[in-house]
Amino acid sequence: MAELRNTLKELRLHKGLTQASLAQQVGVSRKTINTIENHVFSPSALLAMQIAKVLDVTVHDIFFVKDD
Amino acid sequence: MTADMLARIRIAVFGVAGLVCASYSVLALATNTPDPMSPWLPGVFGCAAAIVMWISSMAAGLREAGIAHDELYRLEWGLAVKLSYWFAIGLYPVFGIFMALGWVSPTTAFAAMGTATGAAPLLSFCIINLRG
Repeated sequence: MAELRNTLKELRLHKGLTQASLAQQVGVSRKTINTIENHVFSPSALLAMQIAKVLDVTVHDIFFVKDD
Repeated sequence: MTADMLARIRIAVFGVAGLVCASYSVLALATNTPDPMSPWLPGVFGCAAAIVMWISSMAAGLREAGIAHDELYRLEWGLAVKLSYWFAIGLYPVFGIFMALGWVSPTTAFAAMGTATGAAPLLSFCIINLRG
């Protein structure tokens, strides 16, 4: 079954941001960023685009589909 | 007040209001009486929870309140409401059997089911949120 995975943690650390500072810039809770990084929660397209904008990357740089 | 603090207050007030409702329901069943404690208590705690959340959100400001009620919160609350819906539906056959067997009176069943239905989304949300 296909799964939505992401490289959010790597990209966030590369940008020198904490979960809290990224969350603050995007306008969501720190827990939301944490659950996205841990693949517990899949964000909406809008939130994915907002995160990509803050990290200065494309949505495809952050999110990808992993097939089994 | 930060969004994190607002989220913690929300868990606390939902938890307290949910526990009061659940306690009322369990006590009503255990004692087979529709008013094991003041019947105003669940409503008072529910209203108090709403007032505390409203005041806290106003104190935090629109942006922090928006962060505390972001899409993860909406997802978790939606899941809690879905679970509670099925829980409330499930109460009907269970209490129907209890009443048919004469274990509880209709007035006790009304009180126990009503407060259990009220407690379900609040406590489900707390569990879902704390697990996540």
